[in-house]
Amino acid sequence: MRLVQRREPYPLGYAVALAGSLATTLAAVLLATNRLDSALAVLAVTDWGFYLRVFAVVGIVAMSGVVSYRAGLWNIGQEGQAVVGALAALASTDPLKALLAGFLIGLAWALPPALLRAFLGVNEAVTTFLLTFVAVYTARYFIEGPLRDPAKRGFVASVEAPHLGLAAAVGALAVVAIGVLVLYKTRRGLYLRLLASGEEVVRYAGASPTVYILLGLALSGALAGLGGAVEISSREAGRYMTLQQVSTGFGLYGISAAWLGGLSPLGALAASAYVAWLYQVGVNLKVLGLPALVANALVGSAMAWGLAGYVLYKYRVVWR
Amino acid sequence: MPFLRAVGIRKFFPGVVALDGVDFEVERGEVHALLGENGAGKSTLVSIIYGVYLPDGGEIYIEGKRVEITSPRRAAQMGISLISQHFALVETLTVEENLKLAGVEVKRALEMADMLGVELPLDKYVAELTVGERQRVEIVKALAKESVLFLMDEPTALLSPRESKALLSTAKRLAELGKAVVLVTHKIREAVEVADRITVLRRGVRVGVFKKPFDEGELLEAMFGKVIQRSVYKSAAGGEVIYRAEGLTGERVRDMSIELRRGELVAVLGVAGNGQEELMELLAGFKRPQRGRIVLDGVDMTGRPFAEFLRRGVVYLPEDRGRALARDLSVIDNFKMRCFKDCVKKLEEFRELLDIDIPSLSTRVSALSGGNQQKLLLARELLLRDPYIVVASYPTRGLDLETSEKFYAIVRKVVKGAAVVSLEDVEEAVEKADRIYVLSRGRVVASFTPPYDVDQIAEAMAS
Repeated sequence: MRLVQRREPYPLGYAVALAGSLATTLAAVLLATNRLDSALAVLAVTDWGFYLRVFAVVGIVAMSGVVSYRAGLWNIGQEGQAVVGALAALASTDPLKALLAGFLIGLAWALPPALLRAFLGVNEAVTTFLLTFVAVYTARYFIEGPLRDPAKRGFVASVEAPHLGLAAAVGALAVVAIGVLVLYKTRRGLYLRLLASGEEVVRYAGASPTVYILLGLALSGALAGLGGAVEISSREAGRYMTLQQVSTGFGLYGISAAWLGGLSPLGALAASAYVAWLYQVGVNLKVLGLPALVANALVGSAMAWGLAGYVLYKYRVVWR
Repeated sequence: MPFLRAVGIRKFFPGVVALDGVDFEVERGEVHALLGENGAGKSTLVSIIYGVYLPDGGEIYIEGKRVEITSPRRAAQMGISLISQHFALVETLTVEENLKLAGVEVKRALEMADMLGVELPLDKYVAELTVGERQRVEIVKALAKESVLFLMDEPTALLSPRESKALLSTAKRLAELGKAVVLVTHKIREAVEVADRITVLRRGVRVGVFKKPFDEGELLEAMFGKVIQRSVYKSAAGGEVIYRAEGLTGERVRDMSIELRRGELVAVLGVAGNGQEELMELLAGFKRPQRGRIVLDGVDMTGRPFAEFLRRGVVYLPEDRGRALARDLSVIDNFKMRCFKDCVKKLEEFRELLDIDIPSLSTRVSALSGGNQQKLLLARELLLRDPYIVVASYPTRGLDLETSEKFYAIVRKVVKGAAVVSLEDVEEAVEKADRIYVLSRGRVVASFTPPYDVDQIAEAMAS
């Protein structure tokens, strides 16, 4: 088997990939349920409120990925930035402040990697990733200490975050998405995208690469932090963290959605809707007694199919 | 019978005839120099003999037998080895480990080294070796693998004078051992010193094969052609000095001073790798000099950010277009790097003017051909902006003749101040420039004004 580069890209490659991902999901569900009718029930969205909430969170984190990767910067610490964002939301008194605090704390959390990268050339993928673990332990400290809810007897849990309505959560995503789209139309947005072609190109354009490395990573961290804040405060119930449940996994879903969407803001929105659906399927399976982590496997297979779609878009497969 | 004989070799690259029916042969026991200036086709010929390129015409014979050298691996099987500037050695391994990796017995390698009269630092890591030492390891490796033909492509380019001497005597020694050696060089002295025969190439054509005793004057003329006295530009040369660089020093560039007068087009000539690119970066303000001063219109610009140079109308056209164009972004996004309004309209206008072949404005720049990328760059930097000082690194490399003529026409027409271009082609410089600086080893070694004497210029370049 060989791959031959196509003269003209082949957009149907992505349709094939989507079909493949759907088929994989169906097959996995069938395997778990053994019956077609209950399989189809698992594939259905049962709770639109829940679905939209997940969509909003994944979408916001996906925008964090888009901002970073489109600039050629490798922030892969969205999970940690979302954790500290959620932590900030716990400490807030009203939902608006929670979002603002999440945004700012996420920004602050991404700042050390950004500074290290901009001034010392330290690889930001490593630093952002490792700070995720720091974020988790920091959150545990706060849950046991300053943010512990004494009213919850018998188990260690934090105080509750203020409640953010579903409309507000989806609204936050809309603001973020429109913001990123508008940003990309501006000169600063152009410089940010130029950065992906190398720091020299930014300098050639007359701008400072240092500034745009800082801007790209800080904004990416801020959006992930906002995503974390939206996630915890838009829950219907249980808007608190426990020692065991700090990380939610939405950081990784967001990163996946950013890449599945081809790093375009609109594409990432569409991919987020898809990832949110896979998440819903995972939850439905959990009801049947399967581990909810199946959702991770489904998102992973979607990523693999997305990659296959990209290969088919650019290459022809020759079986010889 | 010659070990290798190439007959009527032809090679075309898009828009260029790199080799036009070249004959070449090399015998066992001789050092045969392949002499010519940059772009004469030496490297192309060597690449064909080593199987990197397939020729578009002609035949190659090894010991009288017609062969097709389809790959470097094939070449190696036929006893051909290439000692190039890029080494096939693993830097993080020792010399001994590298030899083993190449399937060479250490004992045999030591014997070969002994025969050649060179030392083999077995325990040293390749990363610690000088360029000359690496070359010696390569040569010993090739020798141990029973190579007969040693192709050396500009082997002294990166060597210190002492190492160069050592390398040249190694080449001689190889010939004494009955090997065939091809020494590719642009340095006449070097060729004269070691070669038994010299083949001179100029613009893809073999000018002649010379035997001992060599006449340097004759070789120079063969390399560069007759003295050309072309019409001199009646530009405003003699205008006031608007740009002055004094004692610029960078990593390779040493203490360089250059002046530009209003209306001038100045060429910086030199064999590649003598610091031209860095000089252009320094002149354009893209890189900060370690020492020296840049004065533009009486204002000291030394060490100011590149954005400041841009504001004063400095245009920098780097050798590597990837520094000036974001290859992953669309044509229009790249244009907007400098364009602030009516960008689509302006781009359409320039597209017509320069005949740029763009499928659509949202096409990625990486999908355009090199020539079209260059045209896009020229449109953006020269036509869109109001250029005052143009600093261009090999601006016509890779362009067809028509487009490169267009480049000079545009520069003459739109540049309000002056232009400085680095070139590698003497004739191009003589034809286009009001003044020529010759660069060697990071220094200006000579400057010329019309009427030019090509011999003198060539000699200065080869020094």
